[in-house]
Amino acid sequence: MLGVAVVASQNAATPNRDLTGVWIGPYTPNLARGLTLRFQPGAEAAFTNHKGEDDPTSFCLPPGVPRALGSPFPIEILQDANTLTILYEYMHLFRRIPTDGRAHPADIEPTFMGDSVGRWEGDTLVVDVTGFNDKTWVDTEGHQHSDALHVVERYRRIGADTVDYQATIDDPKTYQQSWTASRVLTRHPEWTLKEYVCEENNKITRQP
Amino acid sequence: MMRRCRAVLLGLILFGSTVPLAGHHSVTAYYDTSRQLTLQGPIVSVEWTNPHAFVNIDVRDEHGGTTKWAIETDSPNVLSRAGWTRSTLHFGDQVTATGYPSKKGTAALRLVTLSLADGRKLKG
Repeated sequence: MLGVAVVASQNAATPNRDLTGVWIGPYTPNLARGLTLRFQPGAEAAFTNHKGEDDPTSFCLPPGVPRALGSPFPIEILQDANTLTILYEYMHLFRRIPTDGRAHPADIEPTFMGDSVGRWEGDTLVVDVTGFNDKTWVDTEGHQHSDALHVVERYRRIGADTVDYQATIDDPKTYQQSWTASRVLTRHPEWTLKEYVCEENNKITRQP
Repeated sequence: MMRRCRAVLLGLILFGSTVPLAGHHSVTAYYDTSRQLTLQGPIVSVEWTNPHAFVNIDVRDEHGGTTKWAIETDSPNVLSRAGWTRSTLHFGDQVTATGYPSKKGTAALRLVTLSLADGRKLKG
C-alpha cells in the first residue's frame, strides 16, 4: 500500500511533457468566435471589407500560426530533449521549435510561419512566435494581422489523448488588446499523415 | 444556367445545417450557404484530388438537355478519414447531391450530402 502511494505521488509531481503523436483540433474558421475584438483605427475595415476569395490559402500559400492548427487536417509532433518538431499535413509545412533556452535570432527574416522558440513552464510548453510577414490571415473568417504579429502558444496535456491548446494573438498595429483562442487537440494513434499537394487541382487559381 | 436546370432541382431549402469543412478556403466566399439545392444524375467523373475532390454529374433539364455539374467536396485526406475511398464512387453511379450553389450562378455545388442508390449517405 505504501509503495502504491509513493508511485502515485511521483507521477503527480512529474509534469507530463510528452506531446508526441498525431493530433487534430476542431476545424475553427473563426478564431475570435465569442470575443469582441477592439481594432486599431483603420484596421477594422481590412477585416469587415475583406473578400473571401482573397484568402491567401486559396492560392496554396501557408496559413501561418495559429491558423495552421485550425484546419481539418492533423499534425504530428516529434520531440527530443532540445527540439519539438511539428509536421503539418495541411500544405506540407513544418516548424522546428528549439526548447533549449535559446532566444530568437537578433535579426529575423520575416516568414509565413514565423520564428519559434519554446520553453517548459511545468507541464505547459510555451512557444513564442514572432518574425511574421503580413501575407497570412489569422483565420478563415478573415481576421488580419500585420508584420508586428506576436503569437504565444501554450500546449498542455490534459488527458491521455488530449492537449489544451491556447494561442494568444498580440498585434499592436491591428488590435488594441491581445486576444486568445483556445481549443482541445485530440490524439489519433491510428492515423498517419497523408500527402497533401495543394497545387494538384486548385481550381481557384485557374479561374480568371 | 440556373433557370435551365430548374427542373432538376429536386429541392430548395434554407440553410439549416453546419457549413462543411474547408480548410483550404472559405466555403462562403464561393458558395451561397443561405440555401441548398438538390441535384440528381449519373457520375461522369470523380477528381480524387487535393485541395478538394470533385464529383461531376450529368443533370438533365426540362428540355432534354444535359448539364455537367461540378460537386465540390473536401480533401481526399478528410474524406478518407470519414470513410470514403477513391473507389467509393464509380462512373455511371446514380447519385443525389445536396449542397450550396455557386455564387456566380455556374453549375457548381458545394456538397453537404451525397446519397447513393444503395441508400448510403456521404457527408461532404
